[in-house]
Amino acid sequence: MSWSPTSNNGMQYGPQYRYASGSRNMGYRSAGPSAQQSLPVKSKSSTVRNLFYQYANDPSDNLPGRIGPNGVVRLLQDVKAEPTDCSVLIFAWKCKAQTQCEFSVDEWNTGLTAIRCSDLNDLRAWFKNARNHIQNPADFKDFYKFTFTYAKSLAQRGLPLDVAIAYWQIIYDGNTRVNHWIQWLQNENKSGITQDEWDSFGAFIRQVKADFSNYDETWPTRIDDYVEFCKSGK
Amino acid sequence: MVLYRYDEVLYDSLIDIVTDHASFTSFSKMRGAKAQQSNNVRIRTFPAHVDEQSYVDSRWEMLKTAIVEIQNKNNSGLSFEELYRNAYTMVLHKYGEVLYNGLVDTVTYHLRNHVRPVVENSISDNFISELIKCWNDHTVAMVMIRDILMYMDRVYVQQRQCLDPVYNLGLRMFRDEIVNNQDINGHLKATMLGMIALERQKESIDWMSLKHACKMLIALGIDSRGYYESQFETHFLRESSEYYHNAGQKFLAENSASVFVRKVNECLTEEKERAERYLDPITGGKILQVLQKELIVAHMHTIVDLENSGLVFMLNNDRVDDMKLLYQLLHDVAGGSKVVIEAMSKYLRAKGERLVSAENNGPVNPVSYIQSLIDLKAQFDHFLHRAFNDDKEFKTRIQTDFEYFLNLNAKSPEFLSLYIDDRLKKGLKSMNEGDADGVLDKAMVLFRFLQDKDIFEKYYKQHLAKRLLYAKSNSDDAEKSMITKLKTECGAHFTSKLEGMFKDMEVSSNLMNCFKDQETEGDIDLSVRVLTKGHWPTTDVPLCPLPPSAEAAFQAFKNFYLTKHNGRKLSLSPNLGLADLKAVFYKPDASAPGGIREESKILTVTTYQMCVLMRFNNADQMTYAQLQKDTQIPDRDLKRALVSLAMAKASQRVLARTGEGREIEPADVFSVNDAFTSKLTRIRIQMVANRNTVNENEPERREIRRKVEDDRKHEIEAAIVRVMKARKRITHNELIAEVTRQLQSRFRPEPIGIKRRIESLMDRQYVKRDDDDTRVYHYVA
Repeated sequence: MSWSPTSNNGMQYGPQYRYASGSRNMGYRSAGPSAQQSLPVKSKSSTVRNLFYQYANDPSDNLPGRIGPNGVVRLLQDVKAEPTDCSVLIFAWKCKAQTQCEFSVDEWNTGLTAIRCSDLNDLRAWFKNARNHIQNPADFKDFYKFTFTYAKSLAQRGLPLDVAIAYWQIIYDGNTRVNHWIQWLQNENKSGITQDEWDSFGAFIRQVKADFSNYDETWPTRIDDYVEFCKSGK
Repeated sequence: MVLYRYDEVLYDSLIDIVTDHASFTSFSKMRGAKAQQSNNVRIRTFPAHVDEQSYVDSRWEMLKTAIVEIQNKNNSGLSFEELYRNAYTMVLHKYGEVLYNGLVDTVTYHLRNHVRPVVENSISDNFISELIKCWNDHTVAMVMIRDILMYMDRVYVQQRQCLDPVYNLGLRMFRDEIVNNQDINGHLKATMLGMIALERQKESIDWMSLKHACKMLIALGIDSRGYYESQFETHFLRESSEYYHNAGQKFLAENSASVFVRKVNECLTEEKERAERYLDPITGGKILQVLQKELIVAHMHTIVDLENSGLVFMLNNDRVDDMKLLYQLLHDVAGGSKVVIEAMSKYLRAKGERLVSAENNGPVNPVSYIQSLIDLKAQFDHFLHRAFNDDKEFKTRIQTDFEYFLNLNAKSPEFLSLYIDDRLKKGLKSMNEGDADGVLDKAMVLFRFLQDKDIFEKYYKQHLAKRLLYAKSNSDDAEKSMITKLKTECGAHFTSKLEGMFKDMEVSSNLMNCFKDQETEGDIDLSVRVLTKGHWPTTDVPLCPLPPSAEAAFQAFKNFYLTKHNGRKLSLSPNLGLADLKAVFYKPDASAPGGIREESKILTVTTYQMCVLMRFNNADQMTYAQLQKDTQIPDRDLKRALVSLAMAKASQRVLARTGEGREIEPADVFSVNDAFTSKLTRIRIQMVANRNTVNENEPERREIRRKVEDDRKHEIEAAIVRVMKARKRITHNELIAEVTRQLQSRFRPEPIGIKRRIESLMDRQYVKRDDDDTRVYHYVA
């Protein structure tokens, strides 16, 4: 067998490949748990890499070394996921992506390792059940917080209202309370959402009861206004 | 009775010795009798066994006789020692029961058959004194009986818990046989209550008997007041309660609070004396309570609220003495003070509210507004001291009330500043230093009640600026004194800018002296005051071009100043400042050469007016629009300047104006009024709309408000950051409380406002919310 660039996991595959741990990192991070499989690692990590380059460097994107919007579209088609589906957002969260509709190599690797997928089949399956990964409240909180930073542009401090609403709808797909909130926002306010308001709203939906019996004055003023509207409406 | 009291120990031992002898003696007497009967002198041995029963009987007979004698007050012939001994013997030989029961029977018999009839017979006449007499006799007798039977008490009775000692037994028997007897009992109660009722009607009674009767009842209770209470006290209290209930109604009918109070005081005194004189002390306390309940508590609301004589009337008419009595009366009763406080507070608030909302009826003179409030405070201080005894609760309540209505009117801070302004300008002239200080102190009292102290500060600065710049202030000392007072009240931070203003004035005058020494040329007599921008209230005013001579003079000064203080920037404030202009009027005069006479006047005008008037050197007439274009003075200021020059009093109309409307139109034409005359050579043109100095125009007022709001936002944020920095981590409610506390000496921030500031700070990453608990904030370093 010819020598191949690999990570320390190569040690497990044959005594002739004895490398110091973590010393041969030719641009990859360790593949982690996937190394437990009986597939040779080099094809695993390179599969991932290949997969990345299937979608990266799309000529119409003009983003060298990254998957751009068009690449993402193609990816989503391949994994049979809707672009507006929450699973896309969850995927971005797993990748710890910085910019919407873009993925860098590192982000891609991080993501695919975290979700333990290495090819399209895995990805397809994963995307179908992506929602399961945010069932845990701690995970959900992390995911929710991530969304704000992901959604807003670097230049601004806050999130434009329509963007925020779009993301809320993606995340809380179908939740009536959230829909009511969105409706009110659209009628009342035109100003953007701050980080505090975003985070607090997540906590609000989680903690405050529908009849607002455990509501107090420590919430942001915008949520105060909303609650007052609800109370007076009812 | 012989040997009434004896040392028991010694006596007991004596008895032992004597007893045998006695029994021997009496036995031998008996034997002697018997022997005489049989006429046989036979010597028999001393019998070892005595016939006990008969012996005991004889002992008892003797005692019984003695007891009866005692009860009949024939005790003088009795031998205490012998009787005691007999009793002792009986008890010793275990015949205590006989003795005891015998005692009971004897006493009962006596009471029933001798005492009771007497008492019953006296029912129609002299009842109480007879009863008392019997009672006294009985107690005295019982004491003696107890003494005789003391051994039984100590031994026989002691061993049996259910038996009363002799004296108590006597009491109980008296009670059961005499006092509890239906007729006697009823009559006793009726008599006692009747006597009291009589006395209440101001008739004199035999109160000594009543006193004894009470004592008797108490004694009959045997260690508890229960009997006395059930027999007398309860009924007495109930009857008194009814009596005073009616009395209260009667007093009320007089319809005068002061009369009521006086009458109630009389009743209180009377009952107190009565209780001291012949009732039991505890009863005394209870009866006072009854009075308080029936007379005071029941009616205190009514009395205080009486239409034409209640508290309100007293307050209105300065009836200090009546108020004092009322206060003292109610003060002792639970909840009484509160009633008075509430009524007083209501009155004060109503009066205060009327004063502060006086402007709903038209424009208000701030000086009289504040003066009326000061007078109101003085009036209530007077009440507090003379009538309410400087009671702390009243004092606090008055303060709260003043705070309440003073802050109802949002213009109060402004008015207070104007009041002080007025005083400093003219009012204190006639007073000496002490009085002047007093006036300022009173103003400070009101200052303390203000909630929006920062608004006051803004206005005070403005007014002070005007006073300093136009040299309107009467007394420098008074000004300085005022600053000191504010400093003591609010801290140095509050007054630092004000003090800066004073300093600027001083520095400026020094500067002017230097300048005058240096600059000898120049045809304008220039006097400049340099104001440090941060200290003085400034509005940014665009510069208007000055007439050339003025401009040149200013430049000269500017150069002088900048050589002294390099790196500073000077800008002229055209909205302040005065100019003296020499004005020549060309009057038509037939006698003068050319038919024109020149008349010179010196006019003192503002900078703007100077610019306007100088224009007329170049043109005879100018329209408003032209003037505006030429001078570039802002519209409002230009209009005001022109109104003062052309539309004010006749003695001030330096300019003539075409145009009839109240407002100046752009097409109005202005020209020099050659027909202007005045007795004076030097005329000061008053800035018109004097109302401006007294009542700020609405736009100006809004401007000030806006500035104050901005300042407040900054102050709230500064406070929030201060607190967060110190605490690092704090809950929402604590933060609000802490910030409010820090700012309370300036103004009262609203929680919503604070919350908005917190959110703004969060957005700018000074503060962040806790990840887990939404109520907690963290400081972000």
